[in-house]
Amino acid sequence: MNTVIDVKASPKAAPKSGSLQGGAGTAPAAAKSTPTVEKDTTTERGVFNASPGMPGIFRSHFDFMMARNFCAGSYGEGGAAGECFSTAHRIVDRDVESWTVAWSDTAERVERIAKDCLRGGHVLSAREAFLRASMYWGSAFFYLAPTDPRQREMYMRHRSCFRQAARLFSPAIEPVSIPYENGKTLPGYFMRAEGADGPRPTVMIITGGDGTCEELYFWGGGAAAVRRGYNAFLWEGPGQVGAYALDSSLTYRPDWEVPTRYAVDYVLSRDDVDPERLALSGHSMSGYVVPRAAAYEKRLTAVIVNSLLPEWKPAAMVLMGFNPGEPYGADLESRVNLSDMMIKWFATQIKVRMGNGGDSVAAFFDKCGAYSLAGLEGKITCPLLSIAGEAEGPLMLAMGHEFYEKLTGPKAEHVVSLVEGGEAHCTMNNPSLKHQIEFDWLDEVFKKNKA
Amino acid sequence: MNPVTETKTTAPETTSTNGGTASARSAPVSTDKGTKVTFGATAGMPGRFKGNFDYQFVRTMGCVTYGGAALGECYETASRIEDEKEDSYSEAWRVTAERVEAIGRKSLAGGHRVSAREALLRASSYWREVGFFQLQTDPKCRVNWERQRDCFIQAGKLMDLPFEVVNIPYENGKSLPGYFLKADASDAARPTLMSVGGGDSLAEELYFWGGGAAAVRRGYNALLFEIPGQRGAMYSNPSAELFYRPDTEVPLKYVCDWALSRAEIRSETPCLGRLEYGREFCPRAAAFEKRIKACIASTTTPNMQTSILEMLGLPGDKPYPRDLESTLDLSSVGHRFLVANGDIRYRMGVGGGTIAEFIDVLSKYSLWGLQDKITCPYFNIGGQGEGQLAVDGQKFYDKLTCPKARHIITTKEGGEAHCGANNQSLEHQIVFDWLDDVFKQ
Repeated sequence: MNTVIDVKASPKAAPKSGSLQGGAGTAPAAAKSTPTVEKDTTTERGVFNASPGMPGIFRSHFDFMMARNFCAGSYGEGGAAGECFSTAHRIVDRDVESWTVAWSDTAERVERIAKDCLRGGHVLSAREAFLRASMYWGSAFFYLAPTDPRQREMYMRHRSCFRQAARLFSPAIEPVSIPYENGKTLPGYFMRAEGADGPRPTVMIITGGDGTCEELYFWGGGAAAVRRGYNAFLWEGPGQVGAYALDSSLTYRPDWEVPTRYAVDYVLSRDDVDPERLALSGHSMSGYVVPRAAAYEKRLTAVIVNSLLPEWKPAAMVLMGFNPGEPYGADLESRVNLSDMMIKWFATQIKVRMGNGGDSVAAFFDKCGAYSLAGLEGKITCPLLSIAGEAEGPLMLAMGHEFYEKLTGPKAEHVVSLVEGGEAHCTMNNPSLKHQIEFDWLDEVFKKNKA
Repeated sequence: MNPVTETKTTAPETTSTNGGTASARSAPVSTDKGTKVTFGATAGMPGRFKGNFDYQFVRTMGCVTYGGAALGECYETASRIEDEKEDSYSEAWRVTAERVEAIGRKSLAGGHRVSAREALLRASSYWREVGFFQLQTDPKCRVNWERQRDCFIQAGKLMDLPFEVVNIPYENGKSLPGYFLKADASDAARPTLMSVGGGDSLAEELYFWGGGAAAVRRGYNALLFEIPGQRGAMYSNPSAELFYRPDTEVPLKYVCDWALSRAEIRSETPCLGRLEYGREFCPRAAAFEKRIKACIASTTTPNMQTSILEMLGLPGDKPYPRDLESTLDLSSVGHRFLVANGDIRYRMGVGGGTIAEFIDVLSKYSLWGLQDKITCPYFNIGGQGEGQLAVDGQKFYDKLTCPKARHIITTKEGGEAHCGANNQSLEHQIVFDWLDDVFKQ
């Protein structure tokens, strides 16, 4: 529960393989009402493991997405429990089509409420419904490949609902096009801190491989930041879902300090940003991006990683059903089980957005190898907070912690345990706790910056 | 919003639909033999428990909307609860409440105001659940109530908007506890929501599902309060003998007196208005207390005796046996809570009597005969998951002659639970959009 500074030992909360429900720190399981979690490749492979703090409505990755929708509600304007449950009721586990249809139906309905409210002059009700609708559209297209025309269409509605809500805030959330290389732009939103005018501490927030900058308002920390007197800059770099949907030439790149430099240039061009208190916070696959950016972009004065991912390759291999320790040959196609929802997702999403959609799986793994933090441990000099979740599984936790141990700069670590009810990847089942940990730490770091 | 005129009566009626259909006919039947009525096991419910715990679970989890819960904390707690076992329920929530309260206190000590407030708000919800199934007369119940109250008040003091703990003067030197929340720090007169809970709610939780937080973010003030018989009202007075009374207009007179003594509420602006939640209490008060300018009932409960009988699986309109102790199946947590454990009976002032004597007393809590006396605009909001309760409410609603509107939230809308507990955002959108329109007129 407490943020541990400079932990030397391996994370005490790291569970033993295959015994998540009985991992260290787990409260007595027993309860008769606990749903039996069937064996499922997605929820025991690591990263998205089933655990007591999760809904348990689905036995696949759908369950993680349920938590993601529910948790948007933590900021008063995201998922409503009843809407999530009644949508889930229409979904067949692992049936992506039923998922897409169910969430787009709910999104349509809630977007219509928002528009009716707006017409009637009920601004606050309209804003809340637009935000929920945005989240539901995001869920609807989640599993669709970028090649499916519905993916972009629903992404645009996800974005449009968020933008309509953005206008109804006071001050309004500002959509930003960050100038980037070769006349291209990256998408973002600037949220001004509540309270006094003048330069404020600012947190730049990015998602990972599967999200958009819009939903960072909820679980990414946007709403949490502004109510604490921080500005929030929600943005995406090349290869991320929204950036790629808007311009498919924007594919992932390992040298993330470059897009970060453009984003920092924009943020520091504003007179309401305090350059001495500028943080970057990143999630999931950005567990690589954030430390990489921090190693080179010295205008960042603090970074938050949830969770540390020093190498993409083993994570990609695990999530696609391979043993990361085994050498692989050129032809992996026959070993890729595309009927597995998450494997298909990886093959049609991450692989495509990394710019090698047509290449082989082996080439994809090779390319992932370039996303490595090895050798950068000593170059990260600003304070770093590492957050991870017990349900991410032993492999991910061990990889992250091993890198953390090698960091030579100021650092802190918090592995959210099962008993804390925030054990999911990206603390997705408890954004309130996540933001309490993040911002209480940032408060302290920035106090020192100003002292 | 999208009012549809349905003039069946002499008064203008609107039906807000939000794209769903207003019908309470096809509510699925709960698997819990104790909660066929009012607490239906519908598609928009968690399905995490088989009995009444499922409703309590969504009621707590639904507070996520206003920062009163975190999903992972709720599910983690649920994983330690044995269904239908009140002690296990209480103990599981106690562990969570202790832990989250400690987070709040640590953040507070470190000067992290927002984090402290948020954790204390969650802890307040969790302490409420610790005591939920305990008896008023159990000393542990009082301690748990105090802790939920302390956490709430500490969170309230950390809010950005004005927050006042109030004691509303009542008969014989007694007082009614409450909270006054203002939409901003000015003394400007504003429309005000007066919100009261039902048989099992506390003033503190009205901040979440009772519309407190929803009101202030929309520019309304909110006065959250308890009336005699409600847990906090009884604990707040030296002599606990402050039982429920059918003439709700009497406590409401005191509440209105207090409200109208406030500059922020006293005003002759067209926007002046008050309303309450609460099922039977509000319509009754509105019939007699004409300073109330609008009334919202979630959901209209025309006769408490009928409703309780139906919740027990008995016909609501027929004589009932006197030896209910031996004829009723009291094995479910729902039935235990309603009649068997004695908590509500005690707070009704018939603690020592039989179940039948308790049900006799409930007949005094009836709205029939008052339908013409309610003259202010009236909104009936219910849920498809309430089953027969929503149907009974509709019968009374149909007889009302005042300006009125209704919305029975459907399962498809995902807000069908009793009191909109599984979708606070939706319920408040419906209620406040209606209210905006009423006060604009």
